[in-house]
Order: sequence, then structure tokens, then C-alpha cells
Amino acid sequence: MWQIKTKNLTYIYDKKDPNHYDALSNIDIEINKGDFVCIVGKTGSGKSTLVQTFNSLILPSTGYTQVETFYITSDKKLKKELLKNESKEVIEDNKHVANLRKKVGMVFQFPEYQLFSETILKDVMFGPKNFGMRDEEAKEVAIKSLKEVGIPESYFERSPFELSGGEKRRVAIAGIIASSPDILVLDEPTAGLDPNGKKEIMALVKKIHETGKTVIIVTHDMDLVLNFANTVIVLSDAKLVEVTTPKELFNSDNLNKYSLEIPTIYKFINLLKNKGFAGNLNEINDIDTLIDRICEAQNV
Amino acid sequence: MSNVFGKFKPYNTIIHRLDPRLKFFALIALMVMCFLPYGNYANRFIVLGVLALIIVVIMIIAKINPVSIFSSLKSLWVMMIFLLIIFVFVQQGVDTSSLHPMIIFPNGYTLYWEGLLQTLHVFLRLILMLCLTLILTSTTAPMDITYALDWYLYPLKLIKFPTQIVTMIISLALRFIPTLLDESQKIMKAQKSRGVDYNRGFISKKIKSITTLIIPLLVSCFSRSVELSLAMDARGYDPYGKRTSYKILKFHVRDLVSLFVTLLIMSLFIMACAYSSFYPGADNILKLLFGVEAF
Repeated sequence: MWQIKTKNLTYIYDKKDPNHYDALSNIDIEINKGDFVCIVGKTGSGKSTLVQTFNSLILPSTGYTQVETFYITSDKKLKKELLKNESKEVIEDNKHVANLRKKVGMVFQFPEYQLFSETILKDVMFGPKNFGMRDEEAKEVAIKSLKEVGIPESYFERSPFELSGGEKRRVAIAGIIASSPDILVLDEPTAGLDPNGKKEIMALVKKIHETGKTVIIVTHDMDLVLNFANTVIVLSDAKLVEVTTPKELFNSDNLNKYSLEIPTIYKFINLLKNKGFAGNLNEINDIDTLIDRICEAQNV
Repeated sequence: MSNVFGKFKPYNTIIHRLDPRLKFFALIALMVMCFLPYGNYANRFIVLGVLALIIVVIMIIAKINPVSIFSSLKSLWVMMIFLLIIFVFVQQGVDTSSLHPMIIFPNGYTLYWEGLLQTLHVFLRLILMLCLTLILTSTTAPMDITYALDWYLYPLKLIKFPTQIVTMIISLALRFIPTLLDESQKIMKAQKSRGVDYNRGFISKKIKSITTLIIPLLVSCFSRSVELSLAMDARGYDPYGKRTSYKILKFHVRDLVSLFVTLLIMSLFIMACAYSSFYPGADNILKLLFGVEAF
């Protein structure tokens, strides 16, 4: 059952500008509930624009995005038509964009830029309070989500600006998950982090996904795609080119065409093949299998 | 906000190709023309009308949509009301015998039609100035404006004033306007997805939502400026060194022609000003024009 759907979604940047261009053209996708989706493509292919329509931060120029019963489009006629057959509650729900933003949590690239409060705890409470929680409730969920991202209690009353880069990012993510969104969208969550920071963030995302939430990640990191995603959406030059699984994507020859990086493990396999490694190297998609095969070949 | 009012748009029209120094001069000259005294209200409106016509023609040549001005006026209506209140309710000088009363209150306090005209006049001037600046900024690349400014600051060099520092500051400031706009856009989006609504709510709520934008913006501004100064140091920037420019401004024939046209327009307006201010009995330019025709 799909949870997010786009239909003929097109977005044009700066319509009036002489050098305007399509950031997205005619995208049709469906994202299922509980999926772990990665959106990949080279810089400028429209990935970030696409996910921003999920949160109504960008309105599609034509076509629409639908998140459950919430319709997102700039075309008023179309919206009216879409809402025609819906129930009264849905129509009422559609009037308040806050309802959508509560449902779809969005973590931007470098989310540390969104911190502004005097203390970490207050900053994390900010989101839930905006979505109508009372102070005590907000505090409760804030503490819970801060613990979830691994920020110790001694930090709660400190200023967010004193933290290190990775910690800031975790606080910012806590600020989003505190409003307990059903769908979590992350725009390059690991950009600019050290390997350890990356691991921590991804472990956190995985944990969130395991609670049954839909996770959508925009990324350039193919290792991350291979290790975590169960669906990959490939965009190229504002167009949707493929919806597939990571294994299929990385075992096909299209990677170069989309100018995507090859994951480390496949690079390693290719090197082994080139060196004339004697064992069977086909259909290996994770490190464990690779190690097994190598051991097999060495008769260990 | 990507369609910022007055943002440079790279068309290739004659106005775009003109020398930035000349455009700068023409901007100042025409702005001064807005503020010369032209006698009574009929004269003022005729003269400003002519000026508006000239400006609209320039805008059409420069491919700027004149109607787009009005969308930017939306934010000025508060000021308009403010001006209206001041000009209508404050007495128009000591001698009120020549004024036309609009409303006379029982206690003798009178509101005059002139107050209304005054508001309109001031507002018209403001719009014209806005249009002029718009023409400059949307036809001239920010760096070119800096070069022009540098050129105009040249005399200050004679008294050992470090003009190159001023120019560097200005060009850095101009360079970072789009960057900061981009950044504020990003921060706004991030806060919006945390449930901030920048458009709705009462003033107190609005102020609170603005702080969620301002504080992160300031923080990143400071860190950016530190990084920038380090980067400049690393590349051997010496504030007192002699600068050379990658782009050398040249004065073409078209610039000479436009300079001539600007001076011509200027002198016409100065004539109108002199005529209406110093000729006894000349209370109407129309009368003058018709008089000349009859002669």
C-alpha cells in the first residue's frame, strides 16, 4: 500500500527568469509504508526538490504529490478536483499544512543550522510545541528523543552552539523525531561527518526505521544505499530513470550512465576479478558472503 | 525569494551594456530631478509625470516589466498611510489663506486638500526613486556597480583615504547577499518543517518565529566571515596593497550619447524648476506651453 505518491510531478525553477529550467519533469513514483527508500542521482538531478514536495515546502508547478490523504500542488483547480470525492475530514485536514508537516519529518542537509534556542532541551521541544503539544508533554518527548539519539542528560541545559558538528546534527535530528513523524525524510544526513559520526547517524536511522516508520534518504553515498535501502529511486537530469532494489541497480551496467559511484564492496570484487582471483565472485552483495567466498577459495 | 526585486538579470540590451559609471551618474542626476521644487501642485505633477514617462521608456528598453513595481509596493502601504496621516493632520504652514479646505471641524481645525496632494506627491517621488534604483540594479551586475563606485571614490585617494578597502567591503557585502538569501531560505524551510509558520499569527508570534531565522543566520554569518577572512589571509590579501582590476571600464560612444541625453534631460528639468520658481506670475507650465504655441 503506497503512502507517498507523485503524479506527473513537474517543477520549474524561476518561471519568469530568462534562464529558467525544469528541476523535475513528469515524475511518477509510489513509496510504500515502512519502506527504506534511497533517492540517488548526480548533483542537480532534482533529488532535494523532489523530497521537499513531500513536505509542501515546494509546491509542484504541475501535477501533484500525495501523502496519504494530503494533496500537494500549486494548481488550485487540480487540488479542487482531487478533493472533490474526499470526505469532509480530509478536506479540512488539507487546509492546514501543519498537519502534513507533523506527519512528514524533514531533516535537511546540515541540520545544525536550524538550532537557535538557549538550551538543547528547549530546541528539541520547539517542534512538538509548534505542533500543539503542551510544555510537559513536549519536554517528555524531547528527553526521550534526545536519549534516543544518544545525547547524555548532562548536555540538556547546555547551549546547542557549544556542541561538536556530529552532536549538533544529532540534536537537530532529535528535534525532528520528537514530533514523532510517520515518515522521516533525510537530505544527505551523513554529509561532512567523520566515519564514526556516519555510523552513529545511520544506526539511529535504522533504529527509527525498525519502529515501522517510512524512511526516505537523499544521498550520494552508495555504500549507505547498499547497506540500508530496500528501494532505490534514481533520478537523472530532472527525470525519473529507475525504481529498483540496490542489488539490481549495482549489478546492472547502468551505474556509469547515471554517473553513480560503485559501492566499495563491488570495487573490491572488481579488483579481485582483475587480479585473476580463482573463487566464485558472482552474486555477492554483502561483506559476509564475500568473506565466505574468499575463505572458500583459500580453503580455510 | 529567488525572484528578488531588483535582482540583476543578464539580458543584452543597450541599457545593460552602458558604462556602470554613467548609469550611476544618471541615477543620481534623475533622483535629484525628483526633488527639485517645481512650484505649485499642477506643475509638480506634470513634471513628475514627464519623468515617470521617461523612466517607463527606459524600463521598457531594459526589458523590465513596469507593472512589477506595483507588486513591490505592497510592503509600502503602511508607510503610505503614515504619510497620509501626517500630511493631512499637520497644518500646512502658517499662511492658510491660499489652501483649499476639505473638512472643517466645529472647533475650527481644518483639513486641507493640499495634505492629500502632498502625500501623493511624496509617494510619487518615492516610487520614481524606487524605479530608478531598480533600473540600475537589475541592469548592472553587482561587481560593475562596485567598480563604478571605486571610480567615483578616486578623489579620496588624494587625501590618503583607503578607498580600496571600502570597495572591498562593499563588493564582499554584495557578493554575500545572494548567499545569505539562499541560506535564510534553507533555514526557513528547516524551521517550517518544524512547524513554524512565518506568514500567520499575531505580531508577538511573528517576532518569535523571526528569531528562529535570525539567530541561526547570524551564527552562520559569523562563522562564514571568520572562514572568509582566513581564506583571504591565506591567499595573501593586503588591504593596503595597490589593486588592479580584471575588468577595465571603457567609455564608448553610446555612453557619450547617453551622457549627453542625461544632461539634456537634466537641463530641461532645471529649466522647468527655474521657470516655476523665479518667474513672477508663472504658476502653470501648461500656460507657458500654450502661451508659446499661441505666440
